[in-house]
Amino acid sequence: MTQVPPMVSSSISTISVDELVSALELRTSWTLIRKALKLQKLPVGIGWKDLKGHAAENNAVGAKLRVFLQQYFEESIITGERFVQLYSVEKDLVSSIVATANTVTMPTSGFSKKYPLPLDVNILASAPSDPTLCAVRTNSKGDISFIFCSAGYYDDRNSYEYGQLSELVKKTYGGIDKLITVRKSYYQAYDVITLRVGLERLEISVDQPGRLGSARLETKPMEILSACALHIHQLQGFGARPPENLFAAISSMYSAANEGKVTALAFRTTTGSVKRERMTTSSDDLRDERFHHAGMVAVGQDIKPYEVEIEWDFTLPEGSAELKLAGMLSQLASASPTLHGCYVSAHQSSSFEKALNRLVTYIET
Amino acid sequence: MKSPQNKNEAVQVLTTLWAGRPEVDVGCAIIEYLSSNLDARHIPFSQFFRIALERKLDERDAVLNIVNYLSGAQLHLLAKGFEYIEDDRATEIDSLQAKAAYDANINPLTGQFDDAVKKKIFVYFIPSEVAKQVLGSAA
Amino acid sequence: MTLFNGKDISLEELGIMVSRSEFAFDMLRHEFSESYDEFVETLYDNIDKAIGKLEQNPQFYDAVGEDKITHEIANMLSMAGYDARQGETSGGNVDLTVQGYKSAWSWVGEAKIYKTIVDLQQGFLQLATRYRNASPVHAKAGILAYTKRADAAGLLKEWLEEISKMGLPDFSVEVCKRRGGLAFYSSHKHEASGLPIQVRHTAISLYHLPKDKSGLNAQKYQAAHAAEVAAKTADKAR
Repeated sequence: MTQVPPMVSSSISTISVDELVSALELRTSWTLIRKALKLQKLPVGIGWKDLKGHAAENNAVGAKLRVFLQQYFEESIITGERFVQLYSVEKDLVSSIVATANTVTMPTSGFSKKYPLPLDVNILASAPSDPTLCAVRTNSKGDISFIFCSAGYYDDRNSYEYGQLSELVKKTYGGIDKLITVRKSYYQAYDVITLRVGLERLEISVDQPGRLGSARLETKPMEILSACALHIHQLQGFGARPPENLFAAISSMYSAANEGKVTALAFRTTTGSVKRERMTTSSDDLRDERFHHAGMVAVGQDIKPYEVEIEWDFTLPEGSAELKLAGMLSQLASASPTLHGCYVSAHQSSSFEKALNRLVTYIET
Repeated sequence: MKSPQNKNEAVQVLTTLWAGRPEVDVGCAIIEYLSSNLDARHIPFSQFFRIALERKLDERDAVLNIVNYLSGAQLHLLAKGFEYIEDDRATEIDSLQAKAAYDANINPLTGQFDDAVKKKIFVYFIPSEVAKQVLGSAA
Repeated sequence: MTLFNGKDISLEELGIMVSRSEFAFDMLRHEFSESYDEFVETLYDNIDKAIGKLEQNPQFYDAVGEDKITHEIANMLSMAGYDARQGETSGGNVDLTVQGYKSAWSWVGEAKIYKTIVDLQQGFLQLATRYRNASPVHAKAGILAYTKRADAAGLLKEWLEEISKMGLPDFSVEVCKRRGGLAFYSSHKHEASGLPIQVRHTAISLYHLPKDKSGLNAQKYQAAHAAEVAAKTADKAR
């Protein structure tokens, strides 16, 4: 099946290369976009500045690169690095939500004027931090994505040793050994709720979870769901049901020898230790790594994993995705261990969906 | 000169080329180590210095020359890899990324200028496919 | 030698260490070469370094033939990380073939003791017409002219004038900034492929004829003195 390239909205196709690459720099990691460029055999360059240069070239390759970057940006709005919670949805409810989605009126907001591009950083500081509906997308399978924008922030910490400080600072803060500065850095989050119609599944997808602390990450999915319920009344009260419990999938996916490549694992042994192992070579599977394998043999394959990271290279269409199930060690001692979300990283929506589809096959019902 | 088909022939090529120099002893010690570790996936540079010291071969330049030679075109028993290490996280990078870091101080993870990036990138080695064939064959 | 106390060696530290090494100085450049041109530029640095070692002791090459001198250069290049082979066939019996490990890139060299211009002429024509066709991955070659006569730069200049008169198609010449008057580049359209072939002409100065009293009187140098005079005469007569 050939991938149908995502459509490029007219607003994206008209913006300058500078603005597009700057928006991408805020939206995606260099590692992800580099992978995507290599897959398409497009010039990668050595960094963002180089990429800008290549994209500005007035030749066939430059033109192809510009189109690719526009499509990538459009995709990145619903993909990238995400924290995802999954819900099963009854068929009737799915149909009802779809019907309502077709009648949604997009509210006018500070975000909507510039959407899909992000607001300028200096405007974000005063932009709403509550998720605001900016777009509804439907893909070729009929799945619907509700896209919410909000102003997010993270603490940018820098630490300076005494020797690095100016004389004035040293004088002002006499007797200190180190100075730590904390500055709020703002970014625009694109949180998404996706209804997979054929799969009867709802996904709440939190954008750039690494920038939220654990406390904020815990409440964010409900904030997004509440924002969606303002437009889709069928979702009022939906948050009362718990998301899918993913804990059992940690062990099952690790044990399935052909399920992607395990790149990291945290587990408890019956011999009294807690271990964290991580592969540094991207092409190798931890399951086959000599040290890990010898350890497994030594304990009779009896370990209790509570955290796993898995990577896939998909075909038809070609793409890759990473999944992280980060359970807590304490859950191993619980009668019913729970894990209510996962981390997914992929730049294509097809790979993003496939990673979740793989995960779902291991969830106990 | 035909390519060596086994360990003895590889040692012969090395010994003939570097005859009379400390690189011979260092090179033979490293070939011996590789022969016993053909499934190694990460050999840091410091491991070669350790191998030389264990055999009381106190010659830093000889180690550099021989590692360069063994990863070069004639025997090509060593393949290179690069990794970016920050805090306690190691990320594999390719030679283009390492080159961008070395020549232009571009951080491989952020794609932006980082004047300390060269301190965070490390080269490591693995036995090459040639090594697995040549050193894995009986003499 | 400190063992870095088990600490590993960063790219920054490695760059500093190898820069001072006898043969590993281009370890990182080898790895980072991404084009044929980069491969050749790095190779020329390595060739020049090898040549420099020979030129430091010309007395050792008095009675040594071109094969043995080329063998020494090939060895030094192999030690520096190349696969340098002598006498490999490439459409003809080329003196020196050098390959890197990263790709199909290769470079060929024809070596001659520069007694008279005719010696270089034969070598150059072998490179330019007999050997494999120029292509994007091996479009560069070299002449290594071992000069055991005085005034290597002057001899090379004479050679440059000679090939400029050969009437080669799309011919051009460029000075080599690396070795000043002791090397230059020529380029012309290869007869078979029609692609440009660039040749680096390098004079390696191995002249050693001591002019002190014992040198002038020594039997082993008397023949060399006579040969020098004869060669100058032959070139003037052309």
